[in-house]
Formats: sequence, C-alpha cells, structure tokens
Amino acid sequence: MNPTRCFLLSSVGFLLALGATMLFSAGMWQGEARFYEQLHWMACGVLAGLAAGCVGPRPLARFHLPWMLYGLSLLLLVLVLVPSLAPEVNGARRWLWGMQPSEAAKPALILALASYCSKRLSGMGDWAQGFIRPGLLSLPAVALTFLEPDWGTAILLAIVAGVLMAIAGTPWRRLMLAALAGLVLFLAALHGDPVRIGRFLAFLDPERWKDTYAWQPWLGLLSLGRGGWLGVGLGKGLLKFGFVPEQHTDSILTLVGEETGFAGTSLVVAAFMTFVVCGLVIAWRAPDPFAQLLAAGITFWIGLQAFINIGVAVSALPNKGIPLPFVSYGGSSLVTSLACVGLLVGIEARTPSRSAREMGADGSGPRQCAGGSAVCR
Amino acid sequence: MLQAFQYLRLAGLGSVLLLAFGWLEWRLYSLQVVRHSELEGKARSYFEFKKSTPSIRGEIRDANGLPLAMVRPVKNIFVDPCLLGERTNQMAGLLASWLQTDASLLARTKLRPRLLRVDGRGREVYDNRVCLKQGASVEEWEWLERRLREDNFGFNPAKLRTRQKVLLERLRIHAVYAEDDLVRTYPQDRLLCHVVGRVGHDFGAGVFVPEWGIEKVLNAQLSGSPGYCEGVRDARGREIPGRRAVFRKPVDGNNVVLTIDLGLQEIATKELKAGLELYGAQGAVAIIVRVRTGEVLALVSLPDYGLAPSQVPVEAWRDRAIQDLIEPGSTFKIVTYAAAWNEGLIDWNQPINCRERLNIPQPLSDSEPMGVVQLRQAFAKSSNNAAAQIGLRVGGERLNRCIRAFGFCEPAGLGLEGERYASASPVKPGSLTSVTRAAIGYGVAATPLQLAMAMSALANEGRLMKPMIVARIVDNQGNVVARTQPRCVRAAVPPAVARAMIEGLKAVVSKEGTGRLAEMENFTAAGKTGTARVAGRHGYEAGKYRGTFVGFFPAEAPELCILVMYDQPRSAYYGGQTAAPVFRAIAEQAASYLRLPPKLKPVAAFDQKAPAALLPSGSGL
Repeated sequence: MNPTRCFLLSSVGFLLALGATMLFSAGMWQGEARFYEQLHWMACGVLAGLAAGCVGPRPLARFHLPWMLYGLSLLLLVLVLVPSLAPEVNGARRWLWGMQPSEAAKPALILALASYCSKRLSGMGDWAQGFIRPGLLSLPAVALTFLEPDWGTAILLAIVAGVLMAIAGTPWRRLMLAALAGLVLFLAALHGDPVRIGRFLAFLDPERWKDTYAWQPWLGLLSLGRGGWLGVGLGKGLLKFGFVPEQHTDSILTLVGEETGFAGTSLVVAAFMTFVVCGLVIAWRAPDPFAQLLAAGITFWIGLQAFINIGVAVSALPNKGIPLPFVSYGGSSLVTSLACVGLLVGIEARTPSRSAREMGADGSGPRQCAGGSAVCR
Repeated sequence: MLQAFQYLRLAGLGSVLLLAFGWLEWRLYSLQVVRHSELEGKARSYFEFKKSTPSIRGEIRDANGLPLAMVRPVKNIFVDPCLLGERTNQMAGLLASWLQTDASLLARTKLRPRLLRVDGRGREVYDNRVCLKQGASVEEWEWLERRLREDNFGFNPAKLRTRQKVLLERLRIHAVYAEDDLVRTYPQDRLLCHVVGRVGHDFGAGVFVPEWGIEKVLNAQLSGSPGYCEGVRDARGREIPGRRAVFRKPVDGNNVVLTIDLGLQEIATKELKAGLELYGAQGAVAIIVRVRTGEVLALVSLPDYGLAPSQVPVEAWRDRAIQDLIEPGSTFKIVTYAAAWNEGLIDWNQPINCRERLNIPQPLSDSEPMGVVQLRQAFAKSSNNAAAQIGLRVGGERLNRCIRAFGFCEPAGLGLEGERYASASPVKPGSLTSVTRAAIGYGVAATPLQLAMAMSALANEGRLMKPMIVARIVDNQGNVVARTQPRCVRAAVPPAVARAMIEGLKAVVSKEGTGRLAEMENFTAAGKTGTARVAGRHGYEAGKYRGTFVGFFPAEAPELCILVMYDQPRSAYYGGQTAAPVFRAIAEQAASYLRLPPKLKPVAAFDQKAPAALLPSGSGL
C-alpha cells in the first residue's frame, strides 16, 4: 500500500479505536449502550467508506449528482426546522429521525462547491462567477444551520466554503469582504443578549465564570489538567461521573486528556495533523480539478472541525458544540466522515503513481487507466 | 488541472491549519503539564466524598446497672413549604393541631416559602428545610406520619386528576419529613446532677460536647470514635463504590458504671431535702462512703438542678461535697485526739479541767462550761477548751503531721473536676494560737469529702482509702474494660489508735454526748458533731453557722460512713440538732436497704398471752 494511504488510514483507525475506548470508559457512568451503538455506526461508516472508495469521485460529478445531493440535504435542513417533525433538545432543533441533517450538509456542500468551481476554474476571478454565485450557493446551508440554531456548524460550513473558494481562485479581498459581512451579522445577532455574550466570551477566563457560563469549559479544563504527562490511567478518570457535560460527544477530548494525559492528547493532535497532511497530498496529486477540490474540501472540513473541537476543549475558542471527528459519539457524524475518508482513499487510488505520471508526462498512456487498474487489481 | 497560484493557496492554507494545530499542542502542554498540579487540586473539590457517622455515646449507670445518662434516638421534623402549593391552609390546620399552635400563624410564618438566594444561573433557591420540631420522639413522628398519609387535604380521593394525584402524594409523603438525631437524656433528672454532669448537643449531628461531671472527665471512654470515610462521588453527590481511600467504622462508646447506688442516693437526697426545708438552710451536703473500700455510694449536694441547668441559680451549680473548702469546726477534733492518742499522751479516763486558763490572746469558751471531767466526757460534749489543751500537748509539728496523714493537705482524689484542697500545713510553727485554733477545727480547710474520708479512716482501722466513684467501665458486649480497685492511701494511725478513737466517738452518740440525736435503734453508731461559724469577707459573721455530723455504723464492724452538713440553718444551728437527726434517718434506711444485720437485743420475757391474742378470735382452738 502506498504510504499516503497507509498514514491516512492508520491515523483514522487510531482515532476510531481511541473513540471507542473512551466511550467504553465513559460508559461506567452513562451505561454501555452508547459504546455498542458507536461500534454499530462504525461498521456502517466503514461500509459507506468502502462503497465511496470503490465508486470514486468520478461518478459523483455526473448526472447533476452533486446538486441533487445538496438539494436533498437542504430539504432535510428545512424539515428539521418543522416543530412537529423535530423535537427541541437543549433549545435547538438539530435532530430529524435520529440523525443530524447538518452532518450530511457538510459533505453535500463540499461536493456541490467542488463541482461548481471545478467547471469554472478560469472564471473564479470574476465577481459573479467567482464570488456571488458560489456564495449564494453555500448561503442556504449556512443560514439554515444557523437557524437551528447550530452556530458552530454554521461557522464551520462558512469557513470550509470560503477555503474551497479561495483554493479555486476567488480573490482574497472578496473573501475578506464576505468574512467581514459575516462578522457584522454575527455581532448583530449577539447584540442585546447578555447571556449569549457571556457564554461567548466566557472562554477567556473560564475560572471566573465557572459557576455560570463556563461550567462546561472549566470542568473540561480541570479534567484535562488532572491528566498530567501520562494521565490517571484508562478507566480511572473521575470527572466523567456526570461532572463534565456532553463528555461522550463534544467534550470527549477532556476525557482522553484525563485518562491518557498529554501523551494521549498529543497523539490525537498528531493523528489529525497526519490526516491533514495526507489529505493535502492527495488533493495535490489528484488527477482532475473536481477530485482535487473535493479532496481539499474534505481535508479542510475534518481538519477544521478537529481544530475547533480541540480549541474549545482547551478554552482557546468560544464554547461551541462540535463533535471531534472519528472520536466523538454520534452516528451521523461518524458515517458521513468515514464515507468521506473512503472518498479520499478512492481519489488517492485513482491517482497515477509517480512513475505512471512521469510516463503520462511523456504522453505514453492515459492517466485514468493506471489509477483504475490500481483499484481493479 | 489547477494553476500554480491555486496550488500555492492549497499549500498555504494547509500550512496555516497545521500551524493552528501546533498552537493547540502548545495550549495542551501548558494546561496538562504546566498547570497540572494546580488544576488537579481544584478538581478535587468536585469529586471528593467525605462522610462521618456519629458513634453512639456510652451510658452512665449506677452500681446496679440502672441508667443515669443514656442516648435516645429522636426525630427532627421538617417541612418543605414549596411543596404545599394551594393547600398550605389545610396543611397548616393539620400541623397546628399537632403542635398546638395557631394555624393561621403557622401558615404565615413557617409554611410560607422563603427565598434564600438566587444562584449563579439565575435560579431562585428556596428554603426547603424549615424545622417544625426538634427532638420529637419516634412514636410522635410515626403518629404524625400516619395522620399525614390518611389526610385528603381537601381533595376527593375518588376522583383525582393526574396533577392532583401528584400534589396529594407530595403533601402526604414529601412535604413533611423527619431526620434522625440522637439526644442525651438523664432519666434520674435532678438526682446526681453534679456527679453525672451534662453534655451540650450539636443539633442534627448526633455529636455531644461534654461540659462537666463524669460526662466530661470520662468523655474519652464515653464518646467512642465516629466513623469516617473518604472516597469519590459523582455529580449528584452519590458515592461511587469501590473507591474508598479511608474507611473507619464508628466505635461506640463504653459504658461507665459508678459506685453510686441509686437507692442510697435517693434515700440521702430525700432526707437531706426534708432537713433543708425544715431548718431553712442555704445548702446541704450528704455523703455515704463504704468504709472498707472507699466507694462513694451517695453524693448529694443541695440545691441541685434539673434538665435545663441554664435556668438555675449559680449557687446550685457547685458540687458542695468536693468544691466547698470550709472550716470544719468541732468535727476536726477527731484529728487532734487521734494525734494525741497516736503519741500516747491521753487516756479516755484521765480527768481534764475544762475551765483551764490558757495562755493565748483570745481565750476559748465552751457553750456549756464544765468543770473537771473525764476526757471521754469532754470529747463527747465537744469541749473546745479541752481540745485546745490537747492540741497544745501534741504540739504544732506533730499536729501538722497528723493532719497530713489524714489527707487534708492533698486532694481526696475522687476524680471529678473542680475538687479543692489546701496544700499548706495549717498550723504555723511556734504559734500557740494557731495550734489551739487548729485543734478545734478553725484555721484549717477541708472539703466535706475529705472529712468523710478521714472519719472512714478511723472506722477502717486507721487506713485512709482513696474515694472511688467509678466502679468499672464496660463495653457494649458487657466485657469489663477497666475496673477501679480499692486503694489504701496510707495508714493514718495504727489500728489500736483507731479502736480507741471509736470508743470516744461512740460516747458522742450517747445520752451524754452532743450527737445523741444520731443514736440508732438497731445499730451502735459512732460519730462527731460539729458547729462552725461561717467566715465572710470581714471575719466570722454573726448568726451564721454550719452544722455537721459525720459518723459511721455499726461501731463494732463499721460498714457505712455518712456525712451530713447544713450550711447556715436558721431554726437551729448546732450540728447535733440539725445534721445528727438526718444522719440517723439516712443511716436507718440505708441499713435496711443494704440489709445489714442489726445488733442482737436482749430478748424480751416471753409473754404467755401474746400468742393467743394473735390468733383470730373465732378459730375455735
């Protein structure tokens, strides 16, 4: 197996195994049901990944498939706002029939944007083609998740869309303009709501707000801090007994930090860095612009999501509920992200090897054959 | 394919993401490694679990095992006003009939939800633990619980809506609740209040703070050690099993068994109180000591106090038997005479002139001046002049030695707090006044207990015993943990001297002695009266006396030594008139209580008619 694929898959495998272990450990308090559910979703995700890997990126670009998938995910995002269909949990409507549509919206948006941009690579400098249209394209997904409200995912979607557009060639200044507009909108939404402002800013000094806004971040910090170099030992964490809220999903890194220490959290960070590097290498070498943008989008999505989650855990960022990819409990997130990993591997597999590329540069053979034969073998 | 600047952007944004991960890595390092110990300490307060279980305080019992102080389980009853809702008035009516207060007042005060504070998340916290009654008995709580369960609170139980069902259940079960507590009770109330002592009570914690008496002196034995455990808890405060770092079981306290016999204590208290009222005295002391062992069988100090000692006058707080350092007066002559006997200076039959002029600044006078009489008579009549002459014969140094030998310059050693004594030698060397005053019991200080023990020494062949109040300490299973053995402090005088002194003491309790009112019907008693003037701030106060009688019986084989003392009696002041009859009353009853064999009396001539008279008239014999 080629080293890129090897590193990519082993980092994902490591994160999956760690996630299962930590869920089992958290099960001491919450019950083991979640651990088995997660294993079940993991199996589904691996199957989805295998399927995506076998299909590869090319068929996805045909028959207006990206648009259909994106439209479907938008429909789900609309449905999740209907009160009779989606129950309100913790003041937000994020769940529809046992899954989170916003999780499906992430790859759908990436797919749609990659498809759009790959066809207009030379026109991205244009106002309408390179900024207004892709902007309007991604706006509904961002706005609908914002309305759930799921501000964290909305911001993540916006950043991923921006990164994709930047790679495709939209000028920086226009992206800056969009970012500025987003910031203004965000501040307008915050304005006049002291509780939201308090929650938003509590990360700057969690200890001061530990009994009010920063209950979760502060306990997360305590949990991480208890770990030290090597942690208190697997299964021996104490703050998992109901102290850190959402420790099986968004705050799972704090449990990793408590039980395995700095060594464990460093390995997690290292695994995500490996994933990002591998993803970038795949995007760099991918055979066509659609695959390249798709690979880059997936890589930045996973990488940014991990960055935000870890950033929240260490109180470097405001507290937002975003799961840690591959590690946190959650079926929708796990299946979509594993499917996307499969897609990445599929792209990698269809990339001609270096020798084949050199031959291709000489004009001695079609590129696709080399990649295709690698899978068919 | 992508153009070069697009590759550049891909690489650039990727590097930014990787750098951001590096930043996170640095944050993680600073949190987990640099701030490790700080955060670990702060985390501890969240999951730390500490709990202490109170131990059961041991009982204090009398010599026969009757409880003098014990622990009783009680209930503290609380109400949560927030659960009453619109049925506050119904609940108030029920509770008011139980507490016998005004229902509307109860509804306005205790049953009204009271806002305590608003917590950090903006939620209002109400007082859900309003105490209705402290220390209610278990039966009372059971009765109240049953009443609550059966009450309908104005609902019709046949047709209840779901919401009403919930409210009714809250009213019946959850609104009024009880918590366990322990209180210390004293079944004998006033009896032995000074000896047993009292404890302070920490409301709701089952922890007692000893204040005085045996409760304080033997607190270490009585209290036991509370249980304690340290472990880990979850966010709801429940302990997580299998993670205990420290675990100690509670060890219940041991029981203390006193030498005090409740029967004798009751007899002594009853008679002493009767005398107190009869003579109008300010205070009184009675002590019963078992002569052979030094066991204190009764120790009464009047006035006493009941269960609420905060409301009694300060006078009653003092245990006069061990805390009053007094001038004993004539009863102290036993020491003077014993010293003279010890030195072989006197004989009961030798004559003595009770009108002898003594070469001292302040002459001594007797209330009934006698001429030349036998020494026995002078002692029986308690002649001050004779005692002073004998004191002069003995001399200061030898008198001092004898006073020390009888234990007057050291604590009696009962083991209760606050016992007093005067350590200095009472007789000043070379001062004739000092010798003559000490010989008649002035210028010396003794507690009633010391006097009683000195008299017991004479009754016990001259051996001074250490007084005992604690017989043994037993644990909950009845095993004896510690036992006090009778201990002889020293031989104060040789047995021959003691026997000779008993002869003289018998003469006191006879027709010609001052203690004639102490004479017993079925036993030969021996003892000594004493009437001492009471010293105030400016010398002896006019008309204030202290009447004492200390004696023992049976004189042939002494069993009990009894001291009775009245402080400032008003109707009569001589010890022979006040204390002696009370001695007799106590001694008679104590003898029958202890079933002491009476002395044999000459059998009366057999009356022929008597048996016939005893028979029923119509028996037809």
